[in-house]
Amino acid sequence: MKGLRNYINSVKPNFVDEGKYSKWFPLFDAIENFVFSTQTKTSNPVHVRDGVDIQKIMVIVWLSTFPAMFFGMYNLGAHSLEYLESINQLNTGDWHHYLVSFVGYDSSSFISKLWFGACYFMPIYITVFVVGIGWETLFAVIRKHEINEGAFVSTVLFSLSCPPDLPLWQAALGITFGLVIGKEIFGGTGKNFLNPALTGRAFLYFAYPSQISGDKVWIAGLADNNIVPEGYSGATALGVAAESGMAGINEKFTWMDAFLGYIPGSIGETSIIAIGIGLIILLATKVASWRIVLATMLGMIFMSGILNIVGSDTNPMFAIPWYWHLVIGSFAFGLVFMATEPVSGSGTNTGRWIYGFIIGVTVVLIRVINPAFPEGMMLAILFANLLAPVIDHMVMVSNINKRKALTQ
Amino acid sequence: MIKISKGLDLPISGIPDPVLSDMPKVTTVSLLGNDFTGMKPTMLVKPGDIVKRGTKIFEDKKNPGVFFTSPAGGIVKEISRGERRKFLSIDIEIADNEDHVEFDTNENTRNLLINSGLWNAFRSRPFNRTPSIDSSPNAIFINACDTNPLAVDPYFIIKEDLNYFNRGLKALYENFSCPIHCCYQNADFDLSVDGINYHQFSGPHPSGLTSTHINKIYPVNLKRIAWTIGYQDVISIGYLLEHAFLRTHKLIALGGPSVFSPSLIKARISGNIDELTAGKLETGSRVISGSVLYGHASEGVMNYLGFYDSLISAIPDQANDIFLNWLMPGSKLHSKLNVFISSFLKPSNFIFNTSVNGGDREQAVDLGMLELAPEDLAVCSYICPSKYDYCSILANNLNELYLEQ
Repeated sequence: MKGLRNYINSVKPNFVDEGKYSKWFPLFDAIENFVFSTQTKTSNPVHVRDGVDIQKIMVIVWLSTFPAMFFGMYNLGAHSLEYLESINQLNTGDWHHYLVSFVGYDSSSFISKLWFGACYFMPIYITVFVVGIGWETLFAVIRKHEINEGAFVSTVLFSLSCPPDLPLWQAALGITFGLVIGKEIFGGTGKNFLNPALTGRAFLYFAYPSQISGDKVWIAGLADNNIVPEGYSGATALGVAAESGMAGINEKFTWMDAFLGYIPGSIGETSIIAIGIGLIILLATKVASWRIVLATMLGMIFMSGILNIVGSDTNPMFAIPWYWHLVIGSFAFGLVFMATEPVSGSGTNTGRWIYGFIIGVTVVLIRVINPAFPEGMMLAILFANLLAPVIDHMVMVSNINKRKALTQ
Repeated sequence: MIKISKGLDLPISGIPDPVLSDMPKVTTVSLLGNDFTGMKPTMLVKPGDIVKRGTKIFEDKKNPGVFFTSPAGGIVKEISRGERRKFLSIDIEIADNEDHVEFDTNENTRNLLINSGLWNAFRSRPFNRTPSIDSSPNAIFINACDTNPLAVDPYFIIKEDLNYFNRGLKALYENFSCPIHCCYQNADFDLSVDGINYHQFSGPHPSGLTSTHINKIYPVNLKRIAWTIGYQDVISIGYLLEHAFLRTHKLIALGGPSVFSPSLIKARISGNIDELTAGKLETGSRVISGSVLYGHASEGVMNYLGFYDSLISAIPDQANDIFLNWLMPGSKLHSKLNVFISSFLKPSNFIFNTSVNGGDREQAVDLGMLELAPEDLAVCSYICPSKYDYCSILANNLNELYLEQ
């Protein structure tokens, strides 16, 4: 340990001030901070500082996605192996199968299901991670700011929202759009008014809809083979609901399956249990705002309740109750990991109630009323991101008026 | 009682016992420019001059008629200036047989305070500066609370000088026609002076900061001016009225993880910190005049007890060097967030050292910026994960606003 510290200290002069590689200081700084905590000391007038820093917060958010990530890989493997078995064609010849064949195609083995999912998820994640950190480093070097661990979180969340067969170049393009347009050109972490992961996801959704939406993209190999056995569907529960409402859902899924996550969907979104573990970590550490979480839930329950009462003869989505809205689509995933992002969300406590409620109401409205997009969470959060500064402004104006009354 | 629910009390070790342990010998005192926001001195003495305790040594060019007097009798040793000749400090070596100025306690109290230099005990809000000598406040706030980390409840300090304190309160009541608010925290606090509005505050830091009291009792703006004064200076005023000369010592707390026996000491006012703390600290400490959240490190010319300070804090002067810190559970690091395992294990001692670990102005005024002094944002600076220093940001903004006026 001492030797490592001495080595870092000995090469440091090359990276600071007039050193040979001073341009690359952000990269050196990131590596030093990765290995050891910062050696900077406090200065007047505040002499002690809280132990937490952005790095720690980001690492906690990153770790809290792991339950959803591992369950998602297992779930993808389970569904895909079952599908491949049902069409009697295990190795589709796709390049992923070079990796899959190391472990095998045993659809009753936990390991091979997890491995199958990993063979599809990890290439996407690694691509997104490398490209994302690359952009972050490039901007840090040019702008002379620190490399921020925020890119850890953006890249994992983006990857978890992708379908398994997404071409890697599209994944790279998506995260590039998300980080560069959604964050870096506005000044980097802390200055993004949109959630970078969602911005990238939305870009892909509108640019390449055939690879990222529909009922064939959520099972690995289904779209490529395009063989659909009779009675089989790879559609997500939300997709089914949009087609045929509660009747369709009840035919194919139980609520408990959806709650546990044994349904098709993007890697991270299906299991409410796994996402819930992440939520507990984020709330227990106070990293996420409980106000936003609660307000979003209330907004969703409120709006779905109203639509249940209003009812519709032609649109079966009206009848979906709140506890189904909770477990289908990316509602829970977006709520826990995206809506709670502090920079693009509201900053005032009152504002957080309003912000969350708007997300909850909007997601149900988009899911039920909008005929084009069954998935409303992504757009609802982006919409609320745009409103967040206005909400905070209104809260501040109301504080100012209260103060004026006090000092009259 | 006014209860404050939001805030943060740092679980720092080395809380001082409220008992007097020592009266260290001090040979030099110093007035620090840093203590007086926006002050530019016109020197009335030069190095080598002999001064008495109470002799006027400089006047504020920006606030004519406001004088600063020598805290001790002796020889002016050095006047230090920094970049662009900014005044830093004036050191006075204490003579063996110290002489003092006799003030006329029969003249009106306002003049007495101005001539003795105790006028500087007042600071006006907004802007947290010494008020001009012909101005009058809409309210005066006396702060007999202290919720800073390592501070001692002022009750124990006032108790020793209760007669002077109450005499000072009475003088303020008799000489200022505005409401006088005295804010305290201890249930046994003496409330016997007629005409004073006493308010009890409780809750975590910053419940003891003057800005909190002002916000709850009389919010200020550019037209509603409040003056603030600390309990130590009220004692000094009472002492001056009683004896007709300036007092030499005040009881202050000495605490922190690097202090051998944290307790009260009888400290020479504006005294040299090395001398005040000699033999009481571990080596390798950062010694701070004020609290760990808001104070100045006693380095170089700043090695003196601040004009308004009642506390010296000492903490290990080192940064953490934790291997793979981002992955470590942090059993000894403290955070407002529950990001460390320490939140659940509740260890009895934390590492508190000098490791960093890691708008729109019109609206700011409307939101109440003018009510604030830099010390108020120290807790915000402490918890900020991006390690911004909001105290300095506020100080700069207040200064700009003041200059625009």
